[in-house]
Amino acid sequence: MDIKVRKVSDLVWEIPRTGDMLVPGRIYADADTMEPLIREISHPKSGGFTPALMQVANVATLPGIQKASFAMADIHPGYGFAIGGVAAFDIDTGVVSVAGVGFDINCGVRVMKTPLSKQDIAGREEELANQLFRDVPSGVGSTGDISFGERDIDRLLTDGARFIIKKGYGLREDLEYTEEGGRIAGADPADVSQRAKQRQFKQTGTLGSGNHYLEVQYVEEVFDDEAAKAYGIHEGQLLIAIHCGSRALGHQIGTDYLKTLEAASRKYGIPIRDRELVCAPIKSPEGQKYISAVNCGINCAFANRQAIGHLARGSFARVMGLAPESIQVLYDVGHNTCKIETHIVGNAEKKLLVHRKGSTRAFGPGVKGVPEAYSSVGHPLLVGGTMGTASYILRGTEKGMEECWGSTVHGAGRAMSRIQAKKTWNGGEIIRELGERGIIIRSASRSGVAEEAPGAYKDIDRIVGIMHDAGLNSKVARTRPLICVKG
Amino acid sequence: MVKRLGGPKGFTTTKIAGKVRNKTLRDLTGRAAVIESGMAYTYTEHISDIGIEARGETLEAAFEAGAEATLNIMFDLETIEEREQIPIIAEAGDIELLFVEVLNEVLSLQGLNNLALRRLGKSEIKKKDGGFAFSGVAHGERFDPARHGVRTEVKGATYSGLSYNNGEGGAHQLSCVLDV
Repeated sequence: MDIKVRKVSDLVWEIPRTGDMLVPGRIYADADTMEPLIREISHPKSGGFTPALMQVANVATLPGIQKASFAMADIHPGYGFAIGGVAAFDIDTGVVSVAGVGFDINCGVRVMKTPLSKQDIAGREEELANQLFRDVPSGVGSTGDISFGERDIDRLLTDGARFIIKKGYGLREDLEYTEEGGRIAGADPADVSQRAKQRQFKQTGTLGSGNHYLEVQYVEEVFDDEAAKAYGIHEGQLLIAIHCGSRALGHQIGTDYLKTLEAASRKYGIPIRDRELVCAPIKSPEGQKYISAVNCGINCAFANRQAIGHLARGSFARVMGLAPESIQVLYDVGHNTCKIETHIVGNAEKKLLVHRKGSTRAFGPGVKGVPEAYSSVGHPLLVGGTMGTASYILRGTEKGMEECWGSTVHGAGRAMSRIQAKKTWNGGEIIRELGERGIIIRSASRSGVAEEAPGAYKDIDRIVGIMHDAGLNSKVARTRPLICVKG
Repeated sequence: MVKRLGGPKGFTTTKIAGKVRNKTLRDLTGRAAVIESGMAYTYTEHISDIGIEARGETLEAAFEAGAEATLNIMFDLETIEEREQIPIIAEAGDIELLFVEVLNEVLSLQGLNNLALRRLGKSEIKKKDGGFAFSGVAHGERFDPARHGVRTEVKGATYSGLSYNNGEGGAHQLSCVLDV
């Protein structure tokens, strides 16, 4: 494969616009994280998979793409889009892509602040871990006690976290600190199949499996006092982090619309380099229906994280005697979405459809949509690490808004395949080793633990450091896990 | 071990004996998974997701191997008994799309009916309306997290790495990336 990569600066690389590319590719990386990406192009692995940089170039050929096909620092190969890929499209001439969102629509992270510090749970960690593992259903096909029929599911898809709070799962003030107020408009349940809805009847309030988790973390280090003050976090404080998405409903929407958009790509004669990039014009009936279905999935994921947050409050109440209202939502933000946003293009404001595939929205100070309490610093960007390493809380910057549509990484990014990870590590050993380091793991699947072994991921400090040093976001705090309930 | 039956024009329907299935089931984590009967699957390295490569002496056998490769990521298949059957029907314009369609139908009906599926059988692929139609039966039982060895959820089959080859010695080979 012929892909040229040009070094723009120590942390910015470009795939120059050539051939059918409409814009260049732009990758945030240092020399060390760039090396395997370049190696991947010259020595593609078996199986005919598309290397991540090729995916960045492929996305640059899609009609209506603006400015550049971006890759955040945690870039690794996905399907269609690279994970860590960000692409914005002109509403009139652009397209919407299933691969630009993924099957787990609005997978994201919610972080909640407790009034406790690390010392407060000393000696109670096992008890708390067991309670959380009991209260928050996790694993393949997990279902919970929260059960909805069809009418309620329709309301959940329309009203997201708002609906579920009305049902008693959480506090009204949680909405203020959820992206989109926990409910995105333009979600018509008629655009979601019956099957997708039925698969969700019993899955609200469940973690699922794979890289999803609920962690009890503590704030290890604060880097930005002003932002930490605005966010109400301090060193030693205990936080609850929830990483999951729209469960089976999102998966089914992805499945259903993959087919719809495959037909649309042919119908509208969209020039795509590979089938994995099937898409529809934003303004076509197919495109509009898919965007509406994605919005339903977005609301489902907000509701899901809201419900899990409620269950976690219950665990802390039972074990630590905490009142639910003493645990507050810091923020809830997705990283698998496509959303209509207003950005500056040239010298004018323009509405764009921004796809973020494994990329967290990163709106900076004063940007519309940021909660009032965070207006001076931008909303928290919640970047999940792996079981044994750190997670980060970042904030958006003006430069990030100008340069890459206010976006950042979503995690460390995988460095090793799941298969290789299972060959390399044993789930039981990982649990023991982490236990020796004071990190308690509870998981329904040992092989799942091996797949998610800390060593299978890139170094999160380096990945976050690239975005920070490039001025696209700014570090606020680093957290470390104490308890991890794995999906 | 592989019993050939009569099939629609251009294809051969295949039934796989249980003994062969069990042998395949032990190939859990990408270890060499070539089965001498001609039905086999392997997992291919993909950093974020999992690629599957399914082979069969017939196209139907390759589809069944692909379904088993997918289910084997989710469950220890040896913990699942065959108590229930569920029909799997799908249509698509070409074989590659049909493969994704069938895998997604298996995943979807498994979730919808709260089942743990172990294998796909009785597969038939026919030409229809300028494309192809699949029919088959998936076997398994009601999902029981306490009894079934659960692994990792497969969210869906994708068009990434999607290919179909009917090459050497008439063997059929299908591959795609699964989102996990």
